[in-house]
Amino acid sequence: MKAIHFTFIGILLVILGIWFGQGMNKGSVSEDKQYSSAKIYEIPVTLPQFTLTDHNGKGFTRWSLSRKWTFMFFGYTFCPDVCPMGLVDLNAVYNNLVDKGDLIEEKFRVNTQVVFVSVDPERDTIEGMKEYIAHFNDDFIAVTGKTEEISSLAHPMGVAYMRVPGNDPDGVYYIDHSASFMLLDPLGRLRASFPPPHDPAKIAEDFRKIRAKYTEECCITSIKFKPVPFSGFDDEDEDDDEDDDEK
Amino acid sequence: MAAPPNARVIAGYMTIENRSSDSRILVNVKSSHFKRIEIHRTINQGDMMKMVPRRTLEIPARGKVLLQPGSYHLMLIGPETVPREGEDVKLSLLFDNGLTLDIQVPVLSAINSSMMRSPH
Repeated sequence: MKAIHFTFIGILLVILGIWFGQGMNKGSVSEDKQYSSAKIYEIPVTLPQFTLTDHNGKGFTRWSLSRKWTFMFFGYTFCPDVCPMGLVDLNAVYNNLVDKGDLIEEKFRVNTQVVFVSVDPERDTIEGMKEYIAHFNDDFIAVTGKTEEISSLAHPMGVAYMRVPGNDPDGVYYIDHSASFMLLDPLGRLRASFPPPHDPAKIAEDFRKIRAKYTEECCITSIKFKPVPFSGFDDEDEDDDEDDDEK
Repeated sequence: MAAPPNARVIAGYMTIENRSSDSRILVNVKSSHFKRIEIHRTINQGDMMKMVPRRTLEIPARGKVLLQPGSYHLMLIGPETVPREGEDVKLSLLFDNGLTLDIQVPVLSAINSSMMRSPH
């Protein structure tokens, strides 16, 4: 019965994902010819509040995206093909930046981070995520949390996922999911996505162009609107708490 | 492919070449190291990556099938222990004509292997 229930929720979430994806992003995505692998969101997608936990047990919220460029990839640790492949590609993108000494943007000293988000919180524990992500890159961050918190992050970006129905005798199940790399700007807004198949060199090249074009806008905006760099969706009480944390 | 130590399902990649003049169908894969092994294909459907189980896999006459990331692959389910990089894993490939191929495949690092590149 539980499995059926979960499947239903999964389908519902996917429908929501598609709806959000179309509703919020339609018309703002452009396939600019100067980018060989990126789709640009000319109107960046602002995310609502979410509270997740990283692989070290620390909180991961919208603030964790602030003043950094973030590559975000959704998957799960039991995923044997697509997720390792995606993380290997992200590792190559990351190393491309590290090797050329520009992981940190020069002018505004904005760093780059890679975040792997679980779409399978039922099985992905903090300990499991820690062990898994270390297999790919020690600098990467893996986050998990409550189902509704994950969907708060995923669905506004149009990231969809669905547990594959079926009862396996060994309790193995799979989750179909979007394999795009999402790129969030230093204000934590979705600025671009990289759909598969992924070519790490092209992604790194596009990322440099995107970063060069949009970092200044983000950093100036964040200074201008301090101490609350995000607009909308905010609950005042929670914001106060987070401000205290930041200090 | 070397997997994290807590992996419960591991992907297996290889190239199966058929030099005979008849097509061959891979009907089963077994290993004492795993509870069971399935043949899957990853497909990209409107940005959703889906894994589709297959009962069999046909290797055309004088042709080959690549089992590689993002495409056909073996699903090695329920390892006794997760094999580590540098170790070998024994597999038995069973074909429709009764042929059984016992092979030993190396465990490679996903990070260091050129195979773990998305097909372009």
